[in-house]
Amino acid sequence: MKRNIVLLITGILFVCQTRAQELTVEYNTGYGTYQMKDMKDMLQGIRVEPPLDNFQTTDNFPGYMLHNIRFGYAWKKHQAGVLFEYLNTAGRNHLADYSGEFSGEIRVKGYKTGLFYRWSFARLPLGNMALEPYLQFSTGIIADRVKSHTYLAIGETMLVDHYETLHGINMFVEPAVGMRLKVNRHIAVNLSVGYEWDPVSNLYAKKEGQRVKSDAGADWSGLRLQAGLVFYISLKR
Amino acid sequence: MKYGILLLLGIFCWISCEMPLHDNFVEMEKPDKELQMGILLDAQKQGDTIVIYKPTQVGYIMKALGKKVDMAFFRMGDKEWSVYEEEGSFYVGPENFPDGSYSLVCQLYSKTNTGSLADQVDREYYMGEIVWPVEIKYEQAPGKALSALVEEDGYMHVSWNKPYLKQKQFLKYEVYGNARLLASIEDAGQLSYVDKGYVGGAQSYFVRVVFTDEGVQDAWDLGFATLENKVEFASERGIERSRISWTAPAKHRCIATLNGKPLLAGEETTCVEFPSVGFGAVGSDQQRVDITLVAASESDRTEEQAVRETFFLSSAGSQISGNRAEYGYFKGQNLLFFSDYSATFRALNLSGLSVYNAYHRESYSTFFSVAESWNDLYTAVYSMDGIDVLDIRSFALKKRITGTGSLFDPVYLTPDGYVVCLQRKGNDPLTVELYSLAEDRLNLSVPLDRRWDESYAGKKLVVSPDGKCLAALHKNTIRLIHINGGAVEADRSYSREFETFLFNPVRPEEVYVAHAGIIYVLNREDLSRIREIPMGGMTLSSADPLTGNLLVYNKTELNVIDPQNGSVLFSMKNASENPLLAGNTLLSEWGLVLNIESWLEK
Repeated sequence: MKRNIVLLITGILFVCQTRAQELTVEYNTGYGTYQMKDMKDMLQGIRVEPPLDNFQTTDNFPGYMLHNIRFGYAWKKHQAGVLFEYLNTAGRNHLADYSGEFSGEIRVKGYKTGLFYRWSFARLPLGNMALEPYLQFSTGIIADRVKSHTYLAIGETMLVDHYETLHGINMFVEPAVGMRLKVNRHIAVNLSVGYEWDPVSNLYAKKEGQRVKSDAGADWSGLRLQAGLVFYISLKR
Repeated sequence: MKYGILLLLGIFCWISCEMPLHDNFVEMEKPDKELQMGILLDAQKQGDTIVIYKPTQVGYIMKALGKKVDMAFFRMGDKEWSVYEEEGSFYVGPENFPDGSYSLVCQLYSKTNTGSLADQVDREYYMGEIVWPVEIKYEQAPGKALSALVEEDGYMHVSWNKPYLKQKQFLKYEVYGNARLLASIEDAGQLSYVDKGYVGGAQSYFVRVVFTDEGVQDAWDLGFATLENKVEFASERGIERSRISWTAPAKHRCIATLNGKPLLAGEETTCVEFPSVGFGAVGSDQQRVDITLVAASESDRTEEQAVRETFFLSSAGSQISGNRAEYGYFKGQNLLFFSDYSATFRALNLSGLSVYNAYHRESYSTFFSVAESWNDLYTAVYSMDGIDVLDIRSFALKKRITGTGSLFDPVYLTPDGYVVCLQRKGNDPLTVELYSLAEDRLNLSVPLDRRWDESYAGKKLVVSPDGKCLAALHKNTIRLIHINGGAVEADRSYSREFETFLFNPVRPEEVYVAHAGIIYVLNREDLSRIREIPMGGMTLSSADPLTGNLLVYNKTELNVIDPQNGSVLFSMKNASENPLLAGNTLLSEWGLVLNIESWLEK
């Protein structure tokens, strides 16, 4: 392990010494859709028997905003680095009227950590600016946190009030295509579209101090549309 | 400008961190605040108060304006119950609601049917509450049980609860004992009656109240009480005095008679004592004791309430046979064998007076006697058909001896294994026969002369304890036949007046010859005199094979005397015709046995 780290640092220093390179700091925000099949099933199970009239699923794990920060290293047509991303969605069954409220909610949050690589396959000048289309590949893990809260309140009386929390780890791969519009030497505007696939997703509950595997998983697979800013820090003047 | 952009960016990030959830709020009209509801009770009322004076099934009908009453919750006293039908009833009786003042609370629930969430989960009702005061005072006393107890004053007190007659007109209480009117009480406040005639016998009480209802006379039962007989008697029969005692719960007086003569009449008495009847008394010789327990005061006595008990008491002892009994005694293990002229022959352990074995003969006629035995191994029982020789412990049949002639009483078993008996074949004279058990053959036959054909009150044959001397007896003749090894060694006849001839069971060389109130102790060889024992005009009955003590008796008394010095060791009244003594036990011809060992030791 130590040997691998030494080799990696030596390689980076070698590249820094020998080529024209830049460090990049990047913030993207965007929109993601999420599979969440198990979570949707779980939400359908939260109901009152016999079924209530006017009862509705108001939110069924729709796509929602995501936030993404990347730190990278760019040289020639290449860019690579680490990424951090925050994802969240939720589902809810709900009925409320003058007499009370029934709510069954499941909130799912994902904290993604991974590596990315970009290859710019062209450079198109636009006046003082330049447009750089690229291909991107990302992979890593997602730490999941699922919280459910079910309650039935009639007037001031809480008839049901139940909480449950699940934790888990997913693996993901995400191919994407995008482009950068380099405004000047220090700033570029970034756009990308990709698809995330989670081949592994597990959730665990804690019951009486024991970690119990759940049948369900939080599947974040889905489309990713992102836009953001890239800041360049040149390593050679 | 820069700061404004940063602020907007920050707000955007903060808002977008957690996805907002949507509500499904359904607008609907709230139900009316109140609903007119009511309940109609089928009960007697005085104003607003429900009045209950007898066990009642209270009917109800619940109504709500335009809606259904889904549930009602009742509460009265410490009892609560729910009903789910709009029509029904509930029971109010002394079992669940005793006399008293109550509040009957009825809460009515009717669903709003608005379809609201609360309605759908059965949490939205119209509710109405109605309260009635309830007064319960049952016309009859609760329950039907009278209290009937003997109080500290020693009298039976019968008490009852006051009936609630409401508007009925009280006339009287009537108290009945064993279906007879004991008292008629016109004071409505008197709720008890003292029955001074009660002694403790079986008794049933019944009380009712008589009243008029709208001019018509009627009556209610106020209760019953049934008492078992609580008088217990016990009798004890002693050598000299007997005693009858009793326990009775109430104050009483005893009137007792012994054989029809007044024995005792008194209060505060719980027993009577009287002289015991003579040994062996049976039938009309037994004592009859009549005990009557009556009320202490003559004025309170009733024929029905008197407790009577009659005892027929024999003398002290245990009755082992219901018939005339014949005995054979086995000294070795203190066993008494007896037959009672049935087909069953029994052995009795005299130490514990327990029957330890029985032998039943089915194919032969009734046993009529038991062999007198000096043998350690066998016992025997005989009838007209023959002699059954039995193992002394197991009663297994060892030998059955059937002769060609007629068998005469008595039969003996000698210690050296011979059965000795008297037989007659055809018109031949009586013969004394010795049958050897070891050789299983008739060993010896000694003919007696014709004088023995004549009737004779006593035993015609007696065998000595060692089995070596046979005494053939008849009136004034004693014929001693000395046996040795199964053969006659000597045969002598003596002419001598006697009433009883016995061999001394502990000194084989001596014989007892009783005559004219004197027991002559004689030498067996030649009947020469050894000593005399006066017996005061009594009759010599038997010599105890265990101790050698002699039993003498007359019609009213029996004595056990020491054969050495003639001293009286034990004496008691006698009613037996022919008492016997064996193993320190007196035996009567009617199956009464009395162990006198403890008195002899004194």
